[in-house]
Amino acid sequence: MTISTLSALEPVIADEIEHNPNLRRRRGHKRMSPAKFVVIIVCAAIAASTIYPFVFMIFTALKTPGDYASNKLGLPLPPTLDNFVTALSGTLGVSFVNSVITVGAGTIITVILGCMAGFAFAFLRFPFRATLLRIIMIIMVLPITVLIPPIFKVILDIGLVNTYPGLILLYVAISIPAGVYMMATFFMAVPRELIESARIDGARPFRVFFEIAVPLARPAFITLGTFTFLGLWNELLFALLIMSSPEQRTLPVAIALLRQSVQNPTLVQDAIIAAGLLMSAALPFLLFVLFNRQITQGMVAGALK
Amino acid sequence: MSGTMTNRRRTKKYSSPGTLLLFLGPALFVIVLLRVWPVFQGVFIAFTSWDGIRDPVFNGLDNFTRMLSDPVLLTALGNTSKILVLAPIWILGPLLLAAVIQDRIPGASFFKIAYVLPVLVSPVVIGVLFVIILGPEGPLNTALRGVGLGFLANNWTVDTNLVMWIVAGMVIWSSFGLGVLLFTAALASVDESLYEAARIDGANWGQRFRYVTLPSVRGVTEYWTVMVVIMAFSSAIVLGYAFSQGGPGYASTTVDLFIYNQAFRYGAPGYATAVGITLFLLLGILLLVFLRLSRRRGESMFDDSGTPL
Repeated sequence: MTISTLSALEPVIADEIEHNPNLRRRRGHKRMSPAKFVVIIVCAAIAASTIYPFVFMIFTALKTPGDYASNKLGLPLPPTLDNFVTALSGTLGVSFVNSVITVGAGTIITVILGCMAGFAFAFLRFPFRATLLRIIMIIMVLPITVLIPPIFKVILDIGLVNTYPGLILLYVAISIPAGVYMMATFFMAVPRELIESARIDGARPFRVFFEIAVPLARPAFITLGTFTFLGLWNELLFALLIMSSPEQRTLPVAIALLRQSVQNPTLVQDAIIAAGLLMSAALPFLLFVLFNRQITQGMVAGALK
Repeated sequence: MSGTMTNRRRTKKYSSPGTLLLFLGPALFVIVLLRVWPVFQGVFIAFTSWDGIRDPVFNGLDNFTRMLSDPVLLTALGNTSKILVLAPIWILGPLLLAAVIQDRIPGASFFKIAYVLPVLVSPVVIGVLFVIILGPEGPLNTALRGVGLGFLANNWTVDTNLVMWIVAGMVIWSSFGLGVLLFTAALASVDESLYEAARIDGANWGQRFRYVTLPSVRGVTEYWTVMVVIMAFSSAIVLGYAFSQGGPGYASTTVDLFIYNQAFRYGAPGYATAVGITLFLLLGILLLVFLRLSRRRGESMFDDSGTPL
């Protein structure tokens, strides 16, 4: 049996299923076989492996350091928020604010520039347009981590080390290829007539952009915005290089450095570190709860086009 | 009508330069400055000795001869290859999970969400969290002792033989959910009647997977394979940094972390750039070969009807 014979039969069989109710049994509605039971157990075990570490993290963050020492695995009874108070009164509070500023600014600029360039790729006409979009897609997929030294040199050369604009500019550079690509594919799917009708009214590109493209793109902004925010919120390496002074640290940097005092466990307790981890992880989890569909779309955007 | 259209198209083929500059300029400026220019500058630096402070000095192929005889780089490549050894699981695991989820087993949508959780969280958080979980007095050892398996308890994070496999496991654990998402999205668009037809032909689950699922998602499988290879060389760095900082010794230093440490810890940014640019270009060639092979869609994705804005 090959796929070609299957697809040749397809219309005939589909027709038969349509007219014969006995054959119209949906997939997955049979009685559970032992094999299926095993499959579900395996799936559940993998799910437990991805959920439990985060449950442990939340439980630990809600225990006092003393509680955690005597009761590593159990429920946090009674739960306490002391660890968050301790963490926030240290450098973590400042780092949280720094993350919100740099990641927020980087996300907003990415969405604006991505929307403008995506509009250009879809509705403006210029030479080597397809090639250019392809190059941007390649830049999007190739890893940035192996090029950190020469990229850092550029930031160094233009004198933006230890400045917020330096990190924000870099964050835009990290996310703008995906931003342009996503907005371009979004606008290319917009019916041509919408733009044509505006042009017959004599609207200039600028007006078409603001009066038609931007309102249309609102759902794409949410997809791109949440996707970009998530990626940048979790960024460590450039923040570590560009924002070296303690009062400029972003949250991932502060957490990575907390861990280095783990080698000297009396300094920072695991329960307090867990509170810091939860502060970093809570926002992505919350965004996922709110924008599940958009984040999923953003993650699969490059693959299915 | 069509005559005037061609005439107008001939008189105005492209949008005005001012409009183009306004819309494309800012994004392209950032991309060229920080994504394209560093590649060219990196190629230049690769042939120089550069200490990060003074100007680079040309030194021919020195960096490349050093690469060929650097035992630490060899260790790092060996460590990265431990991730690559697991690539088959990393590629096929998500596909199998997606196929099972697509079969609407009980709890399917719950499983899908569960698998995505590690993808959402920073690799720093994951690295540090596992430092706590795998610590000498951490919950894993506590649990093992609690159920009478104390002899299995280990000082996981400093076990030279084990630490790289733990990092490799974390790399896969923190990204397989992305693969599940890709494959479920791809499978959602497969024609249900293909499965019905196979079922009526008496095909069992394995045969349906082999003859319907696999051919339907070939494109995404190829894409995911390329992503897995790229991630193997570039995404262990943050996990490794947060979890073990490449140690003990160099036991969990992957190639990407090697580049970072050479540049910013051991003061050899020129050499690090040479290694990084070599790796970048090799991955670039891999990606271009993939794109050439997978270029099935011949038609243009642009709609060029009418006159340009």
